[in-house]
Formats: sequence, structure tokens, C-alpha cells
Amino acid sequence: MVPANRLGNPFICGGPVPPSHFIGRERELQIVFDQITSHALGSIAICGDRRIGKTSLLQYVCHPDVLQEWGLSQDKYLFLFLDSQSISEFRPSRFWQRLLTLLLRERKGNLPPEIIEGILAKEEIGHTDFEIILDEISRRGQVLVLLLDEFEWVIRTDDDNEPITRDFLSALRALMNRTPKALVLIVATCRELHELCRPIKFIGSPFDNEFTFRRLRPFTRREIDQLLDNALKGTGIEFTLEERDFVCSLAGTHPLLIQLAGSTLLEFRMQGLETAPNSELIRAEFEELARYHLSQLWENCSREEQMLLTVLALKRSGEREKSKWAYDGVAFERICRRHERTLKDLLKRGLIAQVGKSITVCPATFESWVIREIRNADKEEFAKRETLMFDLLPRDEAEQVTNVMRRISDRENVRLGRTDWKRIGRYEIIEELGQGAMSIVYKARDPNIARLVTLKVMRLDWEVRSQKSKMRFKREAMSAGQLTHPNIVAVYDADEDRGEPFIVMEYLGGPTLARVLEVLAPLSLARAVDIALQIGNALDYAHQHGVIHRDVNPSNIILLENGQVKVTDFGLAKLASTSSSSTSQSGAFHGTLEYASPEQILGQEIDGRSDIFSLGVILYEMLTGERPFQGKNITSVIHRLLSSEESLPLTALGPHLPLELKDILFKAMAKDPDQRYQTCAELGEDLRKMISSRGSGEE
Amino acid sequence: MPIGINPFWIDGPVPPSRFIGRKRELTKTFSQLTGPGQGSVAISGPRCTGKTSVLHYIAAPEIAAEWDLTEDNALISLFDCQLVDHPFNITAFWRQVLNLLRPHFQDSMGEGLQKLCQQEQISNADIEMILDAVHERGQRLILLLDNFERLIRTQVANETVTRDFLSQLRALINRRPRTLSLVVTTDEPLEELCQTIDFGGASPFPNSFMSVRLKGFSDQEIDELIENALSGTGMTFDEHDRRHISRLSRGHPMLALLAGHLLFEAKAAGPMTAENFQAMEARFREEVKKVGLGVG
Ligand SMILES: Nc1ncnc2c1ncn2[C@@H]1O[C@H](COP(=O)(O)OP(=O)(O)OP(=O)(O)O)[C@@H](O)[C@H]1O
Ligand SMILES: Nc1ncnc2c1ncn2[C@@H]1O[C@H](COP(=O)(O)OP(=O)(O)O)[C@@H](O)[C@H]1O
Ligand SMILES: [Mg+2]
Ligand SMILES: [Mg+2]
Repeated sequence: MVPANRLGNPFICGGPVPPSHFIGRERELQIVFDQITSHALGSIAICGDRRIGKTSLLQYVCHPDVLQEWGLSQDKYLFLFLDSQSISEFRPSRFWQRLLTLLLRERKGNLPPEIIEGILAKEEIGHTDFEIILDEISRRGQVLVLLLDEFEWVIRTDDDNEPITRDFLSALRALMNRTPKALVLIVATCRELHELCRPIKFIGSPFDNEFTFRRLRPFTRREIDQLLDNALKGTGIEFTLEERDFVCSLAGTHPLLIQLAGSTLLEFRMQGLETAPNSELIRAEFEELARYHLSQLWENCSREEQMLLTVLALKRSGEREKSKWAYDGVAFERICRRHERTLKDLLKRGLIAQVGKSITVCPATFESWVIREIRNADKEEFAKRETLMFDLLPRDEAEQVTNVMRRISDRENVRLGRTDWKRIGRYEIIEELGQGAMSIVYKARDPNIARLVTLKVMRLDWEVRSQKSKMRFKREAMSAGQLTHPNIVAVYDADEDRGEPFIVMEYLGGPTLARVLEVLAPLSLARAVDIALQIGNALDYAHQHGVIHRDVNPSNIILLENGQVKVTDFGLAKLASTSSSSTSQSGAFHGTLEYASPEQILGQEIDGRSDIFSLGVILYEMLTGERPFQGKNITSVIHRLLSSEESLPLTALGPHLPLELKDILFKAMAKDPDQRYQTCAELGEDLRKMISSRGSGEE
Repeated sequence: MPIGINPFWIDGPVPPSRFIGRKRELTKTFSQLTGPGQGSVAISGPRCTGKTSVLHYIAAPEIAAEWDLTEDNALISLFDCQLVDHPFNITAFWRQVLNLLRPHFQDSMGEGLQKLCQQEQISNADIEMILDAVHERGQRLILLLDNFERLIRTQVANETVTRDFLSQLRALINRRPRTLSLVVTTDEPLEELCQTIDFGGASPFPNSFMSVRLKGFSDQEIDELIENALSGTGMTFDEHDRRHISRLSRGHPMLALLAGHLLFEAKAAGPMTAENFQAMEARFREEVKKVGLGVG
């Protein structure tokens, strides 16, 4: 007996599906069987994207159980499936020979073997020889249905082969049209038969005129559900509605991608793992499996389609990253309007999706694939994509698009000097999460334990990157890594790869406080105080362990869904400037100016109280939505910070806020460290008192 | 207790009895082979990551039987593509594979195979006949093709041969009734190897495969490897030693064995000091350079 965890994979990840797992295609089956059984005996040309299910359909059509189900007698209808690629160095005579051998071997329709053997004995077999067989078939009231897969292989149109192809196709056509009719062709190609036949100079009506066309479409949601049900039956596992939605969001509507996503999800479930908390891991696994197939979908798109997909993908990721690659909406609308027809085609092919007015590349995995390809493109590949834009768009639009492309791809190139880093150390890069003054941050995966991590590649100043300072970098990163506290992001590892130092940390899905403030500021008093208290806990703990953060600012604070707050990047600002002064020789200030304490800006010795100042600034910003020390440029900020006359603009605190708050903020942001709160606990104490004196009914 | 001879040694693929880890990769492979799709698998990984070892493990009857692949229903045969004559041609390939299969057939089919091998040309039609015969006996054929990249990276002059070969092979594994499944191993991912091949508009070869990458051993697998080697020697490696090996080898199984070998030697000679560790590390790097295996 095979134990349950040794069950074969019920998802079909590769070749054609067996009939037991065949889903959908009702319309196509109807057409096929209608044509075969009609008097006209029409032939059919199936086309469709790579991996959409052409071979699966042909093999299903000729399966004995299916024929029986549709009431087709196998004595009358002789079905022959032939993968054109199985004929080496395709030549017409080999084709005829191949068909005859198959007829003989499969003993279809009890044809007298002597006739076939007689022909096979000949040196060179032509279509006239095959006529003899067709005559015999029609005399017996039978019909030969030839299912020819990978028919592209047959249609060779280079100069040498064009005449051969033309003669061959004309002969096939003549055989189809002989009366009484006895031959039906069902051919499958990736590109449309029309398009394939266009370069051929037929004498008389072209070969493709004889066919009914049908393009295979991606699956509907109903078919997707059917597919999942069918695969899971017998495994004892069911997918929840959320899991099904997740499959769709990963895979879109393409049957193979659905199978791959289902298979990945099932693997997790089989191991007894919950899928929801692991969704990022599942996504990464799926992307690895799907990558090659996505590249084929891309290859199979026309240049115009590729251009549109690029524009759409850039638009979306531009929106997601907001200010970064802002993108002219008007130009975008114009492009869409001009290419409306092609967009419709893409929609039908399931490569884009439309919700309301917004159009996106589908599935999202495909979108990130398009972006990643631009990001990883080498010079030549990049130029190719640029040309695409300039060829197909007016100059001003093309410039806009390529500017955005340039920005995405440059970001890494400039930094790492190479473009093809798929992994750093043993960690596999999944995507870039953002860039800061000191680092580029990636989402990555640790293959050893299959867990997601945040990986930070440090942007160290050139002069800092000596051997000695790298050693020091590692040591210091690890010492910050010793901190274990519920409000501090855990550091797992620090190392270097090809000379680039990096740090590996716990991966947290949540947004940064900076991001939250961008959209939601000001926060409620209760929420702001809660966040400040948690940051304070982390800072006190670190200070007790001799670690000063040095760069407490909203983008180093991560908010989790459960309300927990995590502070990250302890001591990194120090690592970035090895000299103990806070400004390095190049004059760059490592830290975020608007949150830095006066003593830090002056380059004096600092201690934990400097972090407390920064916490005060953050608290102020959370409550008012503004920073207390804002200025048009750096010098004016520094001036406001350091000038003893200018006091805090506490008028910005609205009347709804308690009076005590002013005092608390004043004390937290006192310019003289001795006048400040000496620990965060003291600050916390005052905040708590203030809240409780207001009563808990507030909010 | 005297310390015995160094138990860390490297000598080609490991026999199934000493095979370690790779649970996930094996599950993926076997479930792809035995699922309703009876699919094929492309395993890839750099040199000496254990591809051949995995194939030997899959071919071991007691292992395959756990997945219900037995003599009764499946012929599993391992062929090293390095043994194919050069310049490569399709007939020569099949001749060698069929010769390998012959012992499985005592009956008239054995003779049929022998006759086929003497033919000047072996075509897909011939192989289809064999597959049909196998199917009729209620069996299926699982070919494990090691070092498959050897058949893809042929000389430019042979490009059409390669393309035809792959196309025909694809047609065979996609055929119904499903009788042939392949497990191929390559040093680079199959799709990258096939990137430059023009399949004349037809479905590219790698489409029919599910790909499995062999990555570095996890710390757990390294621990198992070390424990296995050390059992009965009287020597122990503590956590620090073991992570040292993980770090040096970056999970590469053969390099982990190499590091283990050197550490064993060093520890057998006397207590470990920081200098000893450094010296051992230096030797490790030297050896790695010698075998020409980059790490990472
Ligand atoms: N009707 C279907 N029901 C369920 N799954 C399907 C169906 N059709 C296709 N698939 C999925 O898509 C995959 C590819 O199918 P198939 O090999 O038939 O595609 P194809 O169009 O012939 O591809 P190619 O262009 O590479 O020849 C299958 O492995 C299966 O996962
Ligand atoms: N799963 C494994 N268990 C134990 N040792 C292994 C394993 N995989 C690889 N090794 C070690 O690595 C070496 C190289 O393995 P091999 O299978 O020959 O690699 P490849 O075929 O990828 O070049 C073997 O000699 C063996 O010692
Ligand atoms: Mg196909
Ligand atoms: Mg090997």
C-alpha cells in the first residue's frame, strides 16, 4: 500500500492531461464532433497560446471512452493522432509512410493489411499512394480523422522548403476534397494557420481556406473550480474559498499556471502547513515554476502586445511605489485608446484583466515578471525593449515610458555594478522592497530553511569598504543582532558576497510608519501613544545593552497587523560611517536629518538620549502630521534645530490634544540632553499618566 | 578510544544506503512520476550537488517500491549520457539505451530488441512499437538520463540533430497511452540549455517537464551527513563544528564532506585552537581551488 503522503501529484504539471483530468472545452468538442459527423466533413484548425491545452484537446478527442460517450463508432471513424515533430527531418514521403505505419500498427477499422504493406514496401511513398488507402476507406463507408499536433513543424517557408511545403499542403487539400469525402484534418498550432500559410504562394485557393478556426481560450472561474475539485478528489484535502482565490491571483486563468499553483498549494497542505501565513513562500515557489512558461507567453505576443504589456506593468508598479516613478496618466489613456483592439485581444487571451476602468497585466505574477525582465535586462536586451517603445509610440510617450524603464533598471545597476544577481550569499532574491540612503532592501528567501527574509545590501562609502572595515561591519552588525526583544526586528546573519556586505533580517509584511503617516496622519492620540510606548521599550532595551540606534525615524519602524510595532536597523547608521564622527569625509550625514538630535548634527559624542529626541520628533509627527523641524533645505532645518531662540512650534497641536502633551514633547525634544527624559521609561510614564487622566473613554 | 580512519570520503555518487536528505526534491519527483499525468522531471544543479546520487536512489527497487513502482508495473533504467558516442546521433543513443533494457526482457521481445539494435536507423516509429509492447505487458518505462546536457551541448554542426532528437523525444513522452517518463539531470536548468535551440515554431522541449532544482543542503541535512559519517568513529563534532562546515561548504554536499574530512583530520591530531581552525579553513580553500568547484 502506498501511504497518503506518497500520493502522486494529482495536478498535471507538464505534458497533456489524461482524459480523466480533462476540464472544459465543451464548445470546441461540440464543433469538432459536429464537423466530423456532418456531411460536409469539415476540417478544423485549433490554435492557442503555448500550454493552453491544444495537445490535451486532440488526445481527448480521440480517446476511445470519449468517442463512445459522443456515440461515434470506432468501426466507422478511424482516428489517428500524430505529433508532427515525431517525424525526423520532415519530408512528405516520411509523413505518408508514418501514417501508413500507424494505420497498420493500430489496426484501425480492420483495413486489409496487405494493401498497406504493399505500399510500405515501396521505396518512395507519395500522396497518390495514400489515395489508394483513402479510396478503400471511403468504399467501406469509413472516415479517417487525422489529428495533427505541432503542425507548425510541417509548414516550412524558407526559400528551400517553400515549394515542398506548398506541394505537400496542396496534396493534403486535394485529399480532403476528394469525393466521396473520407478525410478530416484537425490541426493544432500555436500561431494561427492563416498567418503560417501567408508566405506560401498557393496556386488556386490557399490551404487554410478549408478550415473552421477555433482559438483556445483560458479557463473561466467555473472551469478553474472544476479543475481544482477534480484534482483534489481522493486526496482528502479541500481548498477553502480563500485558497481558491489565492490560486487565481497567482495563476490568472491559464490552465497550466492553475495546475502549477494548485500543485504548489497542495504540497504545502500535504506537509500539514497552513497556506495563509506561508502565502509569500508559496508565491515564491510558484514563480520559480512559472517563470519559464511566462517567458513563453511573452515570446508569443506580437510587438504591439509586448509594448502594451510593458506600459501596463510599469504603470501599475509606478502607482504602487507612488512618488517614485510617477507616470503621466494622460499619456497612458491615450496609448490605451489608440490600441483598444489589441487590448481586447489581450483580454480575451487572459493576459490582462479589467476591473471597472482599471486594466492590469494578468496574473500579477506575469506583471512582476515583466518588470523583473526590464530590471535584469542586459544592455542589448534593454535596448531591444527601448526600440520597441520608440517604434510603436510617438516620441514624447516613448520617452516617458523608457525613462521609467531606465529608472527601474538603473537602480540596481548603479549600485551593484551588475545586473544578474539572482542571489546574494545563499539567499535568493525575490524582489526589491525599496532603497534608502544606506542600503537597498530585498525580499529574499533562505533556501536552507525555506523562510522569507529581508536582505539589506549596504551602500557603504567607497573609502569605508576596506577589508578592515568590512570585518568591523560584520562584527557590529552581529552585535546589534544580539538584541532580542519583541519590538526589535531580529537579525539573522551578516556576511558579504562578491565584496558587498549585507545583513539578513526577519521578514515582516507590514507597512512602515512612514508609509502609514503618508496616508493616515495625524493618528489618534491613543494609537500614537501606543506606538511611541512600544518604540520606547525597544530603545530602552537596546540602550541597556549598549546599542544606540542613531537613526530612529518612521521608515525604520514597522507596524504589524496585530498592532505590534517593530524597530529595525539598530546601529546601522554607525556602520555606514566607520569613523566615530557622525559625518564621514564626504560630508554625508548618515541618519535622517529631520529626526536627528542637535548633538548628533553637531557631530558630538552621543548616547541613548539622542534616540529619545528622535522619538519625540516622531511622536510630534504622529499627532500633527507635520515634522517640527521642517525646512526648505538642509541648512534651514539645521538652523531651526540648533538655534536656541526658536522654540518648538507647538501651536500646531490642535485644541483637542491635552495640555500636558506640550510639556511632554518639550521635554522629549529638549536641545540639551540633560534637560531631556533620560530614559524612554520616564517618557512612557508621563504619557501613560496623561492618557489615564483623560479617562479611557476618549476615542 | 582510538580514533579510526577518516570516515569522510568522496567517491562518486553515494549508494542508496548512505543517501541523505533531499526529501522534498524526491517527493516532488516521485509524485510527478506517479501522478495521473505520469509526467517527466528535469533535475538541475551544479557539479557534484548530488544529481547522480539522486538518480541512483530513485532507481533503487526498495525506494521506488515505496511509491508503488515495482518490476510488475515499471521498468526503471538509468543511463549516463556521457557514454553516448560523439559525434552524437539518435540511432546510437537508442541502440545504447535499448541494450541496457534488454536484460529486462527474457521473452521474444528481447529478440525483437536485439534485431532493432542491428538496424541501420532507429526511428520514433520503432521506439513507439517498443513502448506499445511495454504498455501491453502492463508496464511503463522510466528512463533516468544522467548528464543530459551532454546531448544538448553538441557542436554547432550538429544543431539540427540535437533539435530533431529533442523534438522526437518530446513526442514520445507526450504520447498516449502514456508509457515513457523521463528524469533527466543537467548542470544548468533545462530551459536555459535549450534557449538557443530553434524548435521551428513547435513546443519547446522543456515544456513537457517539471523542473526541480537541487540546492545546498540545509543545516539539518548537513548534521545528518556528519552524524552518519562519524557514527562508530568515537569522534564527535559539536554545534560549532557543524555550523563551521555548513558555512564553509554553503550547503554543497561534496564540499561539506571535504570540510568534514579536514576537520576530522585536524581534530584527530589534537585539540582545536583558533589557529587550527584557520589552518583547516585555508586548506579547505586550497582543495576547493584544486577541484575547481567555486562555492556559491
Ligand atoms: N482541458 C484541460 N484541463 C485541465 N488542464 C489542462 C487542460 N488543457 C491544458 N491543461 C494544462 O495545461 C498543460 C499543457 O497542456 P497541453 O500540453 O495540452 O498544451 P499545448 O497547448 O499542447 O502546449 P504546447 O503549446 O507546448 O504544445 C497541461 O499539462 C495541463 O496542466
Ligand atoms: N544525498 C546525498 N547524501 C550523501 N552524500 C551525497 C548526497 N548527494 C551528494 N553527496 C556527495 O556529493 C558527491 C557528489 O555527488 P554526485 O551525485 O556525484 O553529484 P553530481 O552527479 O551532481 O555531480 C558524492 O560523492 C557524495 O559523496
Ligand atoms: Mg502541445
Ligand atoms: Mg553526476
